[in-house]
Amino acid sequence: MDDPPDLAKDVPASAWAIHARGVRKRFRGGALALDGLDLSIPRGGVHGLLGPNGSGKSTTMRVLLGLIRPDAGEASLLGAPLPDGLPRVIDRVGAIIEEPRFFPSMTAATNLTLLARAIGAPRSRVADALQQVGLAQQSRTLARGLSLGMRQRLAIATTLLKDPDLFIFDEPTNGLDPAGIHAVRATIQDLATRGRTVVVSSHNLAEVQQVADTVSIIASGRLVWEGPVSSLVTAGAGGVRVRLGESWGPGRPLDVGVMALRVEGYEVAIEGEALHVTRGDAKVDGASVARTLGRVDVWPSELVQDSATLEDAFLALTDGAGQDMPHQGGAA
Amino acid sequence: MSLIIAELSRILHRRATWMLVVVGLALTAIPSLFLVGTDAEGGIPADGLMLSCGLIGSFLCLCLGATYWGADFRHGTISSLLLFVPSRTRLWVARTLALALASMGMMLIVAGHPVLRILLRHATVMAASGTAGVLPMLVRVLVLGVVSGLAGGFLGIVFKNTAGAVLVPLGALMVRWLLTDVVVEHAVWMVRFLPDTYVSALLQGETTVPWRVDASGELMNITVTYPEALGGTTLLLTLLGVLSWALFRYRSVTE
Repeated sequence: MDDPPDLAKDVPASAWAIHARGVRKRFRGGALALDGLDLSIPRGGVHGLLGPNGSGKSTTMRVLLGLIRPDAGEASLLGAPLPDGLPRVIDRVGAIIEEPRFFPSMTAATNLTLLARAIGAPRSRVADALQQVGLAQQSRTLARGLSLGMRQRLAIATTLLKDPDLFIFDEPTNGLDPAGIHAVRATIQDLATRGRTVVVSSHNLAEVQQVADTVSIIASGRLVWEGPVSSLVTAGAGGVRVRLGESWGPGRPLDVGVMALRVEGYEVAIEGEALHVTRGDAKVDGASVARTLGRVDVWPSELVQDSATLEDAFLALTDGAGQDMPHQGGAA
Repeated sequence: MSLIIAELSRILHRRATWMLVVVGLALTAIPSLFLVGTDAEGGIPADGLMLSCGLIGSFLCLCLGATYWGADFRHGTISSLLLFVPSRTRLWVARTLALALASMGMMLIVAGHPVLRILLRHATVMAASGTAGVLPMLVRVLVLGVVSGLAGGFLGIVFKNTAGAVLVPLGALMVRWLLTDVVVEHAVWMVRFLPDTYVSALLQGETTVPWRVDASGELMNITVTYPEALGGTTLLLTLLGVLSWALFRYRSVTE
């Protein structure tokens, strides 16, 4: 399998939405959150930032947004070096970091209005933002009276006050019901369609797989993989699983089936009552497997094509397994 | 300028602000309304009233500053604000100026009402100061309010919560009573520089404090003037302000 393209090669830092090299951060108490992190996120589209708990995703976002000072390394946001250049570009960046925080005794509209006033945004933008996230009816509700999902949507509304080019969302679907998740996904896709860059950190890998064009996978504070989602999920997705419904024994269908497949050059792994059929890195055609078995009068009761998911690739990379997985950047 | 107005608006939208105003009025203006009727001459000493209201008002301004910063750290909204105004120095300056203005307003409401009552002829003034002495007293009261509010705010940044910002100054004001025997015997000179000495001088224009014990064992007093108290307070407030700015500028808000 070809390695994914090196996104960072020969591209100046200013061309990236987010660019980081060798970022380190150790918290008080000795915990090493970031250990020489490299990151290159292209402008436009949706980029997933993935990693196990404690891998440094939130710390990375906080460093990029100036909420935490790194101990070493360099980073830039929309071409502006951090942290000195952040004031120049912050108007073009909208962000949600972890659980949204609002004054509990103020209404949704008041919380937004105070932020809008801080940047001189017109009051009409508050109403527009609330309308866009479906909270127009809750504008006069106190923040403490909003559900977690509503607070999450209110947080998204705050990012819309600035009409930014870059959105950074840390777990935006946290606590949302399926309808809310769908709404957030639609918002993210809409923003990307309008030419914005959206960086999404999430544990919901299926969700990220649906919306993201590129991903960066972080483990133990370092980058372990970065590139298009399509390159990542096609690895390990070539095999076929066959269930014959018969037990083992000389002359039984399983024996005959295994022999026939091996004669045809397939690799066969026995998994209980099923067979996992592969042929190196190539994709196995289920119809060919069925024909091979049919020629020896063995008929499968179930035949399922392997479909690798982002979750499979993610677990392989972050658990240190999956030696054949393509990678770039730091070692896993 | 818009950021200062935005922060002032934030102070005015907070429930704690209006609770402090209500408490202030309940402790000062409202009770004094009932005192008018008890004075045979139809009025009450305005400057004396302003002094006691000023003391209460200074505590309320301290709480205003402490809750203003402390609440933002407690609720985590300071992070949200920094995502909109990432220049921490600019934000610190704007919030400090807004807090100073709000403290002045708080003091006017709580301790400035005797001036209004003079105009309405519901209050008199002490013969020594006369009507002209009321305005300088009002200025002193406002200055004390600003000092208290800023001190509360700066301590709110240092401690990242409201309780520390309120309790530490209260503790500092009680140093004299906590260490009375020690101070009189060994370090009576330090009384000149205690916070409660400064507060008293800032409020009254000057104050008399014990200075040293002479050879015969007699306690000698000294007068701490307003300029001296103002200078000492300004120095302390500046040091506290620089510390708070440095912590806000360089400390991670989410650690």
